[in-house]
Amino acid sequence: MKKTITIETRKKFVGLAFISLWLVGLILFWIYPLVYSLFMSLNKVTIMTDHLQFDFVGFANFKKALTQDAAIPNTFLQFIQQTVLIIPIIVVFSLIIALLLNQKFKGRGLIRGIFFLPVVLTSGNLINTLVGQKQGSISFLVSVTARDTFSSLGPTWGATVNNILANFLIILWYSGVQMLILIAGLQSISPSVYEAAKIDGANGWEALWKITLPGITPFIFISTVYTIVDQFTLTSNPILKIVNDTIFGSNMGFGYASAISWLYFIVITLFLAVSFLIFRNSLRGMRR
Amino acid sequence: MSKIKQSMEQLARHDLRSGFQSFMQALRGILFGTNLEKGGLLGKAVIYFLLVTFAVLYLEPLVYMISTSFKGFSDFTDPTAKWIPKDPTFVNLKYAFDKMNIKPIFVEGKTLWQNLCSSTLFNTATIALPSAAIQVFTCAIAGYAFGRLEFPFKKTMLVFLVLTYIVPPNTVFIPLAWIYKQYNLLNSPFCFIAPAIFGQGLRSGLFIIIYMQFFRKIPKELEEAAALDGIGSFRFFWKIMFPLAKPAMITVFLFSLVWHWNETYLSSLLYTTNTTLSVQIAKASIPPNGMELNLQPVQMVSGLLFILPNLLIYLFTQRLFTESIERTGIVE
Repeated sequence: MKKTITIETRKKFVGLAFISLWLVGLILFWIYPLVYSLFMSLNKVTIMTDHLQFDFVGFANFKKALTQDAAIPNTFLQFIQQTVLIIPIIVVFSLIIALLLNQKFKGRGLIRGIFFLPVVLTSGNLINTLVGQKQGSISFLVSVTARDTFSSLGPTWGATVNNILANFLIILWYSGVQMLILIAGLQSISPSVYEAAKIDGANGWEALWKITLPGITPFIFISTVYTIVDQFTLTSNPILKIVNDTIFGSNMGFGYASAISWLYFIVITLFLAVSFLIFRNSLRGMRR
Repeated sequence: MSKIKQSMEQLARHDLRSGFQSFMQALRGILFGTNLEKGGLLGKAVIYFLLVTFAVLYLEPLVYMISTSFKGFSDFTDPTAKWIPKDPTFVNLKYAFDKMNIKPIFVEGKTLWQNLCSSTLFNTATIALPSAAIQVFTCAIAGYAFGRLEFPFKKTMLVFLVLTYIVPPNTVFIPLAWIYKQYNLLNSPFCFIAPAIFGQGLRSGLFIIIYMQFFRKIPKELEEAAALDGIGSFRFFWKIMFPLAKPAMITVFLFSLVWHWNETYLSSLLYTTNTTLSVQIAKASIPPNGMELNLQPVQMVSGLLFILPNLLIYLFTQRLFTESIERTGIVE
């Protein structure tokens, strides 16, 4: 009895030894800056020659961002609208491409290579220049009639939809990794299930809805999470630009930038929570 | 085919009705496929049509980028030279190459390192290569602990691991930028390497999850056998488990390299006096007045110079990228 306990403790020590490096990193490079940033967001931070001076102001920075600075709520709102639309576009597109690429045909490897290529190209400034030269669009989506149709959706949503259409191709460029996740998911469904369905007289269309899609729901969820995190760390993202511009701004500085960062983090958490709620039922069904 | 022949024979025998029926059946078989695995011609055609259309759309910006890069003043406005420049020129390339600060400028009285830091290529490479190499090791160690070992508060730590992936880096890096500034560490690859050493570098959370899932799949018997042979836990990891994780290592290295190369937000925050390639392309692409240069070709060629290493890597390791996720079994 005594010996088994020592083995258990020994095991824990080994585990602790392996995780210790990461643990130190977590405290130094993640928890400490995060707490520091939370602290800064509650203070008015003034940059002195060799140190920072903190004056506690409570939630004033947050209040200012949300109520006084008109640019920030607007940018957030626009960004949220855009992301709400972009995420399903990316996930559905990568699902379609994954379903197509999962068929057996010649040249599959090459076409898969083409669809994954943008992953090595999507760098902030490069994307910005391509968009600037109107290379981010698919021509028939930005025709005048389409623009007029969507403008009738109202001033905010109409502009958002048109903005998305104008960058549609670039948005699709962000689906490389998700596509791979979904292909791997499709291949994890055992062929014998399809065989059984065939014997029962199901056709391909029925098999898609009754077997394939329920089978890969967890992978669709993973792709959705990946897409959300990816979209929130893009450099072309307008909120990150505001944060970057404010940090070294003379009158606002660190405190204000930190407050905006935290608001931003709250938004991403909301997005993840909503996507978790949407997928909750199907995920529960999957976990035996 | 045999079915069509049969139907033709039936038709020849003036058995019009059954002949027509079996002909239609055969046609349907060819077009829509006879069973689930064997797709028909029509199905194949639709798949090819959709995929090729999307693939062409996908590549269009890249082709535009390459062709525009070599367009001179007259070609750029000539609509007949939209895809292939009539008179290809390297003027844009030369201009952009200088403006990108790719070559280091040597100034007397500065150390070699300081001189090399004037090159954006050097800065990007010193960030991307060491960080990627270090992440291969440190994320493997953490991933092994999460995937195979027991330690106190493991479940809580797992939540933290997922959080490090989810929390946007800007929230963490604003105070870090100030701390780096205090210690005079801005403008050096240290800003990226230090977190990477501790498994907290760019997208480390994701890489650790990749390793974790990979190590989980390896059969338990391996450890038991090693324990019987009396191999210590550290030797076991280093000699057996780590080499086994080659597919995960390749995936982590390639993705980390490419993502560090493309990283723009953090480098614009942490490199205040020098710049990196990804930041410089925005600054380099403004041609001065009076020069016979168009803005767009210069922008495109600077972008091209920037992504060239990535494109080359991708050209040779395409399969390693596209098969990475299946091979490492991240999703399971």
